[in-house]
Amino acid sequence: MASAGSGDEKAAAAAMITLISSDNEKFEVTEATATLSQTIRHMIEDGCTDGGVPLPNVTSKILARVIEYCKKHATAAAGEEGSSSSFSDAAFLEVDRAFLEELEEFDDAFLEVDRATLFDLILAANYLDIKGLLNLTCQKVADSVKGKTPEQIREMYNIVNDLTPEEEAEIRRETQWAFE
Amino acid sequence: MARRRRSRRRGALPATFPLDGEDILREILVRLPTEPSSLPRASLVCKQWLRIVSDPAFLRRYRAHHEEPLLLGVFVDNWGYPLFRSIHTYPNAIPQERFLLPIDEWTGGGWVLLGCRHGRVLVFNQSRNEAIVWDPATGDRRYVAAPPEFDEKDKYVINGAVLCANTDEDHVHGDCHSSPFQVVLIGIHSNYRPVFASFYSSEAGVWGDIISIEIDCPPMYSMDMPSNLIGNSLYWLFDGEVEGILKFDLTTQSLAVIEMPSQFEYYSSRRSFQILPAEDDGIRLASLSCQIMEIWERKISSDGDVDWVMQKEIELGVILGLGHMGGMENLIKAYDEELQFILLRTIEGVFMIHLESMQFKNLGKDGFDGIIHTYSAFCTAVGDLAIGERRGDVILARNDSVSADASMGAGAERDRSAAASFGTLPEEGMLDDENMENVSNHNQRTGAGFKSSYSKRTKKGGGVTWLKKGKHNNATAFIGVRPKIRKFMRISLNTEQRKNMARNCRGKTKANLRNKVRLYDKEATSEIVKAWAKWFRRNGIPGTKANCPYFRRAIELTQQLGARALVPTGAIIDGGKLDASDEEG
Repeated sequence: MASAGSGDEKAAAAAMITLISSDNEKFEVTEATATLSQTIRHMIEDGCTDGGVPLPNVTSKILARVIEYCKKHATAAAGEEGSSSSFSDAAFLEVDRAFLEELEEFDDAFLEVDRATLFDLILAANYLDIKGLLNLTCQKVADSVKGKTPEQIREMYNIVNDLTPEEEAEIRRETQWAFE
Repeated sequence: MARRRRSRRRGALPATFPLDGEDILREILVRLPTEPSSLPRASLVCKQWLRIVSDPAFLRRYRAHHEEPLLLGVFVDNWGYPLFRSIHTYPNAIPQERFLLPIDEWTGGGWVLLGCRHGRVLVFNQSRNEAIVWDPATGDRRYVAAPPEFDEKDKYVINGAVLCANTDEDHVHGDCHSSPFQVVLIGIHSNYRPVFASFYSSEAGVWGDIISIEIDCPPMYSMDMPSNLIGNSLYWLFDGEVEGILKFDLTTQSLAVIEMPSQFEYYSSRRSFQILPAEDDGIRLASLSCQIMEIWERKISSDGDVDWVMQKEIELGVILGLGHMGGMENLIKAYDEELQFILLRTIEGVFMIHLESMQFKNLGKDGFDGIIHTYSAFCTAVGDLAIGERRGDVILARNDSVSADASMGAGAERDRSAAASFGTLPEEGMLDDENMENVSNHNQRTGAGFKSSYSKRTKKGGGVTWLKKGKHNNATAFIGVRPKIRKFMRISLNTEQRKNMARNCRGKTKANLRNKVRLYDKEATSEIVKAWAKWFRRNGIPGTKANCPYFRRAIELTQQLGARALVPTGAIIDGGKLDASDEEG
């Protein structure tokens, strides 16, 4: 994956961007893939991507996953644009639906990671400003606490309860029905 | 190098919730589901979480992110007082006392719950001729004096609606707390026509002109069901000489009467109706009879001809798996505009049915007596709801003292003092059928136990008691009669007048007299039965409640007093006082 596209024609290479992970691994991606990241898009617009884009906050392991996500979603976006002009409405809807289903399946599989990786992905999505990935990963964490009591949430994420007994009693008193 | 950097980053972050700063945590928490328990539970995790979910800016984002508020439950019109009933189960069932209109608003009585929309509740006080727009989530209340034309003598307010006036594209209804609102009041002349409407905008702060519709306006006796907002018009079902639909167009501020499909024009106790939206802001009508629901659509042809067309017939018993699912008990209770759920009462409980998908859920049997209004809101618990909760506490504390007082003994004085606190709010569970039975069967339940229970539900018994008082005091000075009640009473009075005539008829034997009375009764009975059946159905009261001794006593008294007694209004009924002798029934 790291060397993807390196042997292509010059025209293609012109649209390639090199991303450099914190552990100095280089990833070549198409501009369409890279610009899912608003951070990189701005850098391209400012013309500061010559010699690669260093991403000191993202490890190669996480960057590889992020690129995997961006590739898939960039393809999906391109596919949607292309199909809209060449299909009838019904056919377009069908293709659209198939795309969305495939994308959903991809997203579900993509999220099958351990908690540490999930948080690293969130941090990367936030740093790279990739809205879709940030939404996907944050929603996953939000869903994980759904229906959990405060005690269970603390245990899950190893959070220290620093509320004073008074604060806690006040909240419990006001919303007792959610805890009994 | 990479490993070092990575381990340093890990090390810098506490525990296993490795979130740099608060921004990402906010991103996560904003995605917590809208279930009522979400934010209260999150607030108890730690100080940081509490701070975030209490922050008004966060709450605005939370609502904007979710776009649609959750249907939290219904407000049941409990003789004018809005009582909340959750449709969720633990831990998302918000208790009744969380959404209580403060007690000081309730004293004096004469209240009608008119509508519920965009997180706001519209209640009308007949004795003060004033509307209250109440936001249960924040406890905020705005008072709007009704236009002076609605004097509750010639013109009565019979229905109304509230809606959010915020038309910003990014506005999320359910987050309307500070947004301007609009109120529409529907009034009717004491002769049952014409019907009036007046429009209020909180931005302008004044009522518009009174709009009336006289031509083509059939006499209307009642309009109990809440409005439906479809497109930019409000619709209400009414019944009178014929059944029909009243439309108020918010854009043109005009009133119109829409005829029902011809087969539904005349009241049938076997049917209940609900207005539904159709495509292009058109309307449909759901009609339920036993287990068959028909959906009719109002088609307007290109040359302006209007016709009702039956769209489909749904065998609800089959869909709900209930077989015949009872007969007359089945009743359309409400419709949620946003979620397009219909609420249907059956012998098996109240079903929430999504008409498009036919998905359904049984919400249980208890707590749905009366006219119900669906209530959707964001439950942000820690932020806004705490205010409502505190108010609720005040009310419950007062209520406790009243019930404690009443349960001290069966003494007449104490009972009077308890009953006199007419603002007494019902306690949780008050709407239980079991409790209803306690009232109906009070003769078997004597002593302090019953009286205490009764005192708490003085509003329930108030109407009857007032009529009883009417006997003792010969009180006839009832003013401000609500048309629907007047109609029932008129039928009774006619019977009474005939009876009096018969009684005064000299030279006839008692037997003849009795026959005559019986003959007259026969003529009137079917009318009375029909009229009362209508009232019972409209209010969701099971027919068996007619066996309640209070009801029977009220009827007897009405018959005896005849034309001497005018018909009580809600205000008078709620203002009535019980004393010990009245409770004997």
